Amino acid sequence: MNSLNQVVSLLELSPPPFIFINDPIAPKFTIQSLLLALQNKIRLVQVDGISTFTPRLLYDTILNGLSQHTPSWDDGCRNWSEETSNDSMDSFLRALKALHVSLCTANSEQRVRLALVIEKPERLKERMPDLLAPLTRLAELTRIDLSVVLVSEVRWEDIRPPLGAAIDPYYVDIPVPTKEIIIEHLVKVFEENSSNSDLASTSTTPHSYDPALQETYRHFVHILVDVCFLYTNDPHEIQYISAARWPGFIKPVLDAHRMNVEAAEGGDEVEFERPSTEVLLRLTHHFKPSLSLALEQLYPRLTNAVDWARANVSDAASLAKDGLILGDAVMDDEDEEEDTVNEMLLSSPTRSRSSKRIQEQKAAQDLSSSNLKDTLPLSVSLPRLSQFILVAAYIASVNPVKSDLRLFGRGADEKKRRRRPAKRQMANAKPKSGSVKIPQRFLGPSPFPLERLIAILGALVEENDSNASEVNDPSPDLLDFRIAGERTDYEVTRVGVYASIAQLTSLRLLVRTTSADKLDGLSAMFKCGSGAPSSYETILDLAKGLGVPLPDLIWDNAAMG
Amino acid sequence: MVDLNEADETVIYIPFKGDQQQDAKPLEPLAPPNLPFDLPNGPELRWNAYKAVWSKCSNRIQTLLHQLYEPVVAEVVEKIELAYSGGYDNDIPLLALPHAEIPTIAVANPTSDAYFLSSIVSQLHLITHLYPSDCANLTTAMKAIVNGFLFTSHPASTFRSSAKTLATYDISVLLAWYLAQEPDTKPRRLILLLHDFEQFDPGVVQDIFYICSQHVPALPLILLISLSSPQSPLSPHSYLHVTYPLATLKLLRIQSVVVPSGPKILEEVVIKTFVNLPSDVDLNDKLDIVLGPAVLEYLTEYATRFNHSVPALLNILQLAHLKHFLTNPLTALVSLVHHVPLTTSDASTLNTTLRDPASAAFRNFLIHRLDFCRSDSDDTNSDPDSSLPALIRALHAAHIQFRSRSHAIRLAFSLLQGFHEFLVERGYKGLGTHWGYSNSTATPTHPRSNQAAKDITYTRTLLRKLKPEELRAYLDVLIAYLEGMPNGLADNLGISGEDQGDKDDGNDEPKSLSLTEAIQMLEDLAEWMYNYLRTLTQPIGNTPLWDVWYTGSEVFPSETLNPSIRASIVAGLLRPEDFAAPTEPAIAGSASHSEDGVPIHTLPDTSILFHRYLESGKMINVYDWFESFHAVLNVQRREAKGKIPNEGEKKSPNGKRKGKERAKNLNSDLDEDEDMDAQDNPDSDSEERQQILIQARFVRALHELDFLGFIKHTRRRPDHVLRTVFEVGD
Repeated sequence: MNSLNQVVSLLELSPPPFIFINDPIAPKFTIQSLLLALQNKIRLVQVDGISTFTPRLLYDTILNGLSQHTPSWDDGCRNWSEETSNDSMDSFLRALKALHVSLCTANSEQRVRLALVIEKPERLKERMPDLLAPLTRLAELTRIDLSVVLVSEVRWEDIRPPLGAAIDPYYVDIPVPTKEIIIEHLVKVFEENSSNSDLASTSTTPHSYDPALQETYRHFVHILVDVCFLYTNDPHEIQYISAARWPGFIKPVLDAHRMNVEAAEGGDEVEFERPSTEVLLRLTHHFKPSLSLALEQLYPRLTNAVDWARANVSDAASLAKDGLILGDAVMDDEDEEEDTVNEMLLSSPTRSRSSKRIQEQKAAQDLSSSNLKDTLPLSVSLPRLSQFILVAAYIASVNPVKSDLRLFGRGADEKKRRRRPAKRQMANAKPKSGSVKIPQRFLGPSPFPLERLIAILGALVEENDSNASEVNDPSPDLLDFRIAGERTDYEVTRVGVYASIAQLTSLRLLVRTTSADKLDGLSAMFKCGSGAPSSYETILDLAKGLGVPLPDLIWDNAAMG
Repeated sequence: MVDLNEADETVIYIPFKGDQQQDAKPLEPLAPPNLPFDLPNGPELRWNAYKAVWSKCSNRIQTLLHQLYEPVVAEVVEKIELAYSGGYDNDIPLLALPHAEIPTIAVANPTSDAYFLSSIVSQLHLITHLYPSDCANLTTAMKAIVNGFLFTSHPASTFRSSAKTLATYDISVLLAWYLAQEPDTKPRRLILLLHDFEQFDPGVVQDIFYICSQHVPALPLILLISLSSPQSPLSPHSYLHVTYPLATLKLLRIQSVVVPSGPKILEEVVIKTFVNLPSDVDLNDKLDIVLGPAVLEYLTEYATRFNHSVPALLNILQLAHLKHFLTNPLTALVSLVHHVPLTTSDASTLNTTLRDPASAAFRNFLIHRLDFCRSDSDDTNSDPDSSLPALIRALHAAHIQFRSRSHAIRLAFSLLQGFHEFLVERGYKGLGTHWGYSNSTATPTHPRSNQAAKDITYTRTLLRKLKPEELRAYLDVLIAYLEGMPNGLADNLGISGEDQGDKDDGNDEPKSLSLTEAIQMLEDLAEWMYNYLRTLTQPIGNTPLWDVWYTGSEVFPSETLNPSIRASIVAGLLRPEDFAAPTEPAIAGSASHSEDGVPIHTLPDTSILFHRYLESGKMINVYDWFESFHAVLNVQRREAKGKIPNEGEKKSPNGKRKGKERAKNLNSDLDEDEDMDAQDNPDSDSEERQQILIQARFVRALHELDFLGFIKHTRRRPDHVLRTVFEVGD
């Protein structure tokens, strides 16, 4: 936090007009710390490049923020400034000066210092590239005591306006947060919450952020950070996981206390004290597997903290197994005994312990799968023909055009087709001079015309789905298919096929790369959508269900690995 | 009107009639055409019967679907209501989140059924709908959101922006409005409903989410996202997770709800609609038409192969109903013969209809049919009046017989299904894989094939192999099922009473069951079941007049629903006369046409060009093509000149007008009667004009083919074009 403290001191003492803070990991966290440190010291406003997507919004937000004016509905959402201040940079500067004057007159004894903290300035550059240079020179243009602080994940070099229009900033680089910083932050959050009046006043019973638990929390956070630090070092992310897990972690202790209070029957006050080291170790042992599970599910937001915490409350039985029914009052002694007896019967203590851990992990995994149990695989939720289309689209996306005839062409000699790609691979294996060819897998799906998709679909349907078309044909006598493959050709040009393609496009499983309103000229181009439809594993599953030998139909099979 | 019997007629040609202002008013529904043996008001009767029957069927399906949706709707509404107020359990207070999240409910609704969303919307207040078209850019999107909430709260309250106030697209306006609300009437939540979420521009939506998240929870926004992709919104491969970056997902507290859909739901609906009638359904509500195996097979096929959405199901069923009523004159009886006991008014309607001398053909046909089926029917005199009451009686008898037979088959199906489920529950294979959930709708519903007979025999075998305790369990299930049936059923069937008694005896003394007794009982049960099922599944086609209420093995007009585009276009170009107004007598009547099709010069321009196209090689020289086209047009001109008096007549019928009339229209602004002049005294000027006209017609036809995708241009040889269609099996 040294560099951030530096900024704070600078802003308090003699601010440079323009500071650029580069924080590639957690800009949000940095800004929060900065705002917290500068609160009540100088007048500052925080804006971000996304919310202020027009100049007018930017000016309004800055002026209203600095003047601490809240537009009210009753006076028609008037801005602070009486003059029109949001139509151009000039009027904005005038209003800013006026604002400074009025602030100075309001509290005459001391000088008023203004600061403008801009988050995500790279978005301002995208939308209003002309504004960035004047913003950096704001102090110079207005001649008031004002400092502009940009906080960004990207470097100044990448957003700097051309031709040296902007002044050079005072550079500040925020280092990657260390474990200590994260732990410190989390403990600070804990302190804030324990002083939270809402919770303290609601009940006499201790809550999970009771000050007495702070040391326990510190211990918990240490373990949590150890688990997560390898994957993320954003303090906010770890705070999120901690918020989801901590209440469940400390719940056995709180329950035990509650039971003790009940057992005391209102006699003498039962002092709530922090759990002993032994309890702490037991808790740690019990909950450690769930920490990595929490990371797996919460970090990519496969679920949210509330639902996760609710779904991962440990049940009494598993707690009892680890000796975590802590109350003096006897709850379900029999169960416990039974469990221990079972354990003893099962095997030696060490083995039972390890097997128990496996059980726990299994249970945890079960829980995770039950969380996602309503995930429908594509093979169930899509009609058969749509599955064929996805497989065909994948093949068309991955294979080069010239391979189609070799892979799908059916002529006099059937054997040719499988040999040739193999031969080619051999030839490819020789190191060649010249540019290195990047395998298609790493290039992503390439677009293909609709006709090619239909043609490959026809080949797939012809080879792997011959029986299904029998039922579909209402009157075999009327439609006479003499040429081999003619029936398939008839089948794959049905309206239903085109409708399925359109449907898949609207689901973004296929992506149309040409504009939809262009009918003339080139035919429509498609490519596989991102995610499932362009992942080899998903398509392989689909293909297996349909009986399509997908690995044989991929040209550059070695690259698919 | 489409002829649904013609399997190869897949395209309907709707002739262009120019700009008709009066087209704006809805057209009167066309009455179906008269059929042989039809009643005088037959078309009308059948049309009305169709409408009544179909609306009943469609209502039933909709009701069933809505029942399926109900719990999910309740779930969504509950999630929304709990989003801000007391959503957390008391034992788990969730504090210490790094930033506020927008409560988001992602609904995976693959059927895209509007009913689902509308029933959610009807239960909530203050919803702003956001459509992809509103979100071309961030400014319009934010404006739509702000105005949407302002408007839905008070239609009168609008925000007028000026230079001295906030901008209309500023979310601070919404915040100011919300803060100004009276505390007691303050809305507790503002719901933003994003329709067709996949169609939104992700870039814009990211920014919207970000801006909204900056003001939560001061502004209690809730996002309701309607996704149509089938994957659960929380799986790692879902659209949300694939498309949006972590930075956006962080801002949301996503909860997912999956609306039931897919083949299973469809199957449940179909079974409940046509087979397993709930016992509380009144007799009046039972569906009048029983669908045959062909339709159900097609339905299954279409659902598994192309589309298992509800609209597709409704389309197919509607078409099947429509065809049934359009092709069989006897279906008029559906509206005339009621299954409720005869009331005088019904009888009199039927009576007067049949007594009408104009319906003699129909009456005779009916008598013939009834005679054909029932040799023991009343003697039919030549005098219609005397036999009329008997005929009406016979009609009602036939109807009742049909009903009981279709009931019996449904019962048989449920019995088999019950037995199958019983076996599967105990870990056996059951009746085999074809009874699996995926295709049980199709075949066994109306057993007509060998499969049904096989299944019944197999049931007997399986029953004999049951262990004694399984026998007891099964008997319990069976008796519970039979007792659950409506009382009238057993009497209606008139078969089961005695046998049921037998089984009850079996159930009374199971405890003292010795092994031999058990074997004996198994044998009895198996035999009884076998015979009973055999009796129940007598083919439905044996009843008199079955085809009035049963579509039988009538082929479903699948080509109308799902034609092959390329084949249809090629057929249309090759034989345009098949598509142009088939009812006009000119085609059938004109003897001038040769046997194997019409001469080429009478075809529309595009067709002429297409015929020549098929005769060419892989590449076509455009000039040669034009020359051959010119030659055909010359024949056309000569013919026209030779038969000037015939010309007016020739224009209309045989599809020729398509090319020629339009070409004339092109020409008409130059000179109204240019054509006539040219034909009367061809001078050089008009000859030249004729050449231009032919060129114009050629280019026009060429472009039409180009537009249809038959031509591919090459850059190397600009005077040649490539063929794209080969080997048309004409």
